[in-house]
Amino acid sequence: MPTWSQIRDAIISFLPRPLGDAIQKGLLPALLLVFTAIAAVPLLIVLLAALWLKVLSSIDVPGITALRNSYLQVVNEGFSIEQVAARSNARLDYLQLFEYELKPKRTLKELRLSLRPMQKAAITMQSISFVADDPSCTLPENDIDLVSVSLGDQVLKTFRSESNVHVMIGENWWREHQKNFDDDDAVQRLTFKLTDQARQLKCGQVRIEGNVEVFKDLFTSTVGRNQ
Amino acid sequence: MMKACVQPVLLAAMLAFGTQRPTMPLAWWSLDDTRTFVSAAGTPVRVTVLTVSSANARMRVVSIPFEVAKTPGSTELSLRSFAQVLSTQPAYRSREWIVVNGGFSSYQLDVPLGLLVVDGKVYSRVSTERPRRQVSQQTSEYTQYRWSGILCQMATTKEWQIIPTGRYAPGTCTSAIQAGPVVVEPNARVGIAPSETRDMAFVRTVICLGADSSFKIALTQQPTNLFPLAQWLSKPAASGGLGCQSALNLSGDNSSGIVISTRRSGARLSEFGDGSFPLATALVFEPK
Repeated sequence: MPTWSQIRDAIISFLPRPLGDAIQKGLLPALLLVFTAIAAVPLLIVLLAALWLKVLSSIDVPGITALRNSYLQVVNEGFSIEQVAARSNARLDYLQLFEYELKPKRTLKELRLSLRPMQKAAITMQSISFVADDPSCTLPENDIDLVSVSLGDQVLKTFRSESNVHVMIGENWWREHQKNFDDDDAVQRLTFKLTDQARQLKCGQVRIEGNVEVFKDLFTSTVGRNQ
Repeated sequence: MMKACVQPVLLAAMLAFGTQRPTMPLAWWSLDDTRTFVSAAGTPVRVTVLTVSSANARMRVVSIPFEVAKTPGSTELSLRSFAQVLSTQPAYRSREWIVVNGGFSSYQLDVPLGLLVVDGKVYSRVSTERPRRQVSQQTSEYTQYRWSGILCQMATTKEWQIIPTGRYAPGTCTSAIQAGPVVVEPNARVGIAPSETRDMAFVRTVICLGADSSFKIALTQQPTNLFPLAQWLSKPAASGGLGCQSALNLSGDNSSGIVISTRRSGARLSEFGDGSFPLATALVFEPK
């Protein structure tokens, strides 16, 4: 019957020589401590955290949900999860391109989309150009507001002749405007409309070009709880 | 004297390009395709230089769709096809004219990018897009915007100048076209940084305003960077340069070209450069 020391010697003979030497010198407890601190504990903590978050997600108690959300927010911000995700298209749900021409007689265009309340989206206006549409036309050279863009009935922004402008429909925007949207219905209209100033022009056309990115991210609604 | 020196040059140019030659050059313009400068790679670049006397000729900026009675977004006329259309129109058929590619296109090939003013009418507004990176070696009012210069017929004096985009104010120009970069800034200062030679080379069309109040169109026959071109353009004529006081880069590559129609050549057109890519604007030269 082999003794413990014989078994130990056999195991050590299979280990790399420096590790074997360290164990021979009685450093095994210290090595185990270092391994536990560096490798086992971090993995175990993450595993336990994930397990508890999973358990907590199924508990519909406001205090616990808030606690879980706060914890997740710290983790998200700490590990820059949003920034890393934003660098890829992994979070993109869909992308719609648009190109419209608006004239004093054709003042409005609608883009059909499906955006749930609190869903993250971004609008990029690549260019808003204003050009003459007939030889007798002369454009006003003062910088006027040309186009307003609305999500549902909520005006997002009014644009002049400019290029590469981004509008983010993020958490703050939703918190500010959520009351103007029905919680249960998706927003289905993005409207591009000539401003009153632009409608009074006798000629010329406004050309808008850009895209809407709708992301998978859904921010947590606060309206229901406040009501 | 001008006729005497121009005719052999013109003949050589026509033969070299295999195009039909106007029977006789006229005093208001001359063409020289024997000029060369050395590129960044050390190879010679040949340049076709059209010189138009401002005393005997006038320059107009035109919108290509409007000039052929179309609406923007409905035409795809290259310089060559535009010249063909013009040559059939009563207003141009019996006249002498030269047409040169203009500025850059916007969202449609026939929609201009940046300012376009024709006979006092503003067809497109000034672009204030910032430069993606610095192309000039010094910071000046010519480097604030990507389309940094405006070829402008001043409303006050009726003289043509290349002004910085930032200096433009409504009503400044009776005719104008915005393009860029300004390759030669006033007083023959090179407006391009040497580092520009790291960029891609293209065939170029540049309009140059000379000290003698002439218009010069420099059309390179080979791709080139702007820096060596700017150095050559700004060099005095006595030193082998073109003697430009200021110069503006127009659209280039396969939109570059010059088309000449003279009364004596009938309906035949003499074409220089590729001029095959659709354009939004052009420069038209006509005798006074």
